Amino acid sequence: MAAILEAQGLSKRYHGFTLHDISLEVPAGSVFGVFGPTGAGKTTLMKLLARQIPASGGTVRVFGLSYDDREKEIKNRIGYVPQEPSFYLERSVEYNARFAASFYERWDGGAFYRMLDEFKVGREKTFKRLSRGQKTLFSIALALSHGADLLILDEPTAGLDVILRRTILERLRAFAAKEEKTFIVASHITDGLEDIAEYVIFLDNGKLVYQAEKDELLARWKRIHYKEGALPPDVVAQMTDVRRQPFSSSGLVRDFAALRAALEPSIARGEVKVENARLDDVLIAMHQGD
Amino acid sequence: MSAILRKSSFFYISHLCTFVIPPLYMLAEPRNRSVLAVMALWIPVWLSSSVLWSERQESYAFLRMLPVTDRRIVRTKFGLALGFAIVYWLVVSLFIRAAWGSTPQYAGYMALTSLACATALVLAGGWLIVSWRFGQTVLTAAVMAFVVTGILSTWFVDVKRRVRGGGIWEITPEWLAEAPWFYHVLLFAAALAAFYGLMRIAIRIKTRSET
Repeated sequence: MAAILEAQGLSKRYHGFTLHDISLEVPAGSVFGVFGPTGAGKTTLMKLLARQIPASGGTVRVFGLSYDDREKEIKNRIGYVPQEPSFYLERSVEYNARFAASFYERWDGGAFYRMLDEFKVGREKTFKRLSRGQKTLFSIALALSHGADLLILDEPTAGLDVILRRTILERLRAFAAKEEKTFIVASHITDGLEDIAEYVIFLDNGKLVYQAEKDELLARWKRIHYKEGALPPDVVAQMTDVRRQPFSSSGLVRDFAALRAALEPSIARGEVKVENARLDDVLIAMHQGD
Repeated sequence: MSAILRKSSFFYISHLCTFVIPPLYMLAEPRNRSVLAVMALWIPVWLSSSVLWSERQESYAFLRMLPVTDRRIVRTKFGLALGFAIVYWLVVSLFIRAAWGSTPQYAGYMALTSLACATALVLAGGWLIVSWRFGQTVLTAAVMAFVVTGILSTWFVDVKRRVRGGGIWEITPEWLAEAPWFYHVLLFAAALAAFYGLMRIAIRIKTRSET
């Protein structure tokens, strides 16, 4: 599948934090998840990908174009939802919408106002009176209303209640399924966005520590449930996040295929059960230095 | 683009509206024409203040989300300052012509207006750079200090004039006050060249700035 966004050697230096040498390719029509703990550099990476801040090094190409000479064209085709939405705070929602609309070539006002009504964001309210969640909803409506082919969403469900979070997830799922849209979503795992991601990268301390298709990742990483003594010690030694309990212990393995042969007899005897690892378990294992 | 122009021009226009105050004052005191001359000194103060307030209301993080380049934003902001510097000069020139058009002081007052306008233009470019390089807090402090100094200086000049007699035009450098008209053109050309240079610097600064 062709890449809709390519980043090469992308870096950003701040006082006290550096995002190191990130290279990635986002396939067209995919949902690309950027995961990592707080302070890993997710927001910085998203800002760099959406050209909200200048990079200290490296390049980003979107739709095969460079921001250096085709920024306007690229930004007409991307929708960016920042973690901390920043608009004209003293002006109304309506004013901010009209202001933004005047820049887009394919603005769909009908779709935008339908979403605003659905999200119950009052048009006449001044922006500073909106809650953080409502500001995010406004950003999402804006991002989904100008025919963007690529959406860059930085923790879009942060600050939303459970019901709104589900509404947003459903909206994004439907959008991803129905149309040839590409999403790059930065998220803390556990907000439900990991379910819709097809590709995942993990950032930790400003570094890209893992990049793969989610299915491939989940095929490699497994959680093994076993009875004490049922597994050869060398297999147990290769596990991380081992949780010992009286009747059934469990641990994570990072390359299940390599251990399958050693585990087959125990699986056959019913002493071992294998299940897909959860993304948050994998992230924690990687964060702890596995 | 016109959306940025419309939004940013609000403060320039509202400052322009205050230019009707001196003529209104003259209706009450027809003999006190010098109040019109003070308007020339207002140009740098009012243009600086317009830049300050329009920058304080700006959200560059929002603009960066939209399909518009930093280069275009910088050019629009500089264009706006240039446009209103010319409008301020035109308005003040008209008042001065109406008040002193047939007197020997006219050339001096016009020279003062041109000098103030050229200074205002360069200052406006400088303030925009300060805003994008050092942020709005530094810009606010710097412009407020300038505005206060400007108002106090204007007051001081006016008091001095009242004590010693003579006109505000006397603060204009002699070489300019007595110079032929094309010196004004040269003065504006020099100011425009400096303004253009500042705009080039501003584009570099803005494209590298975090917001």
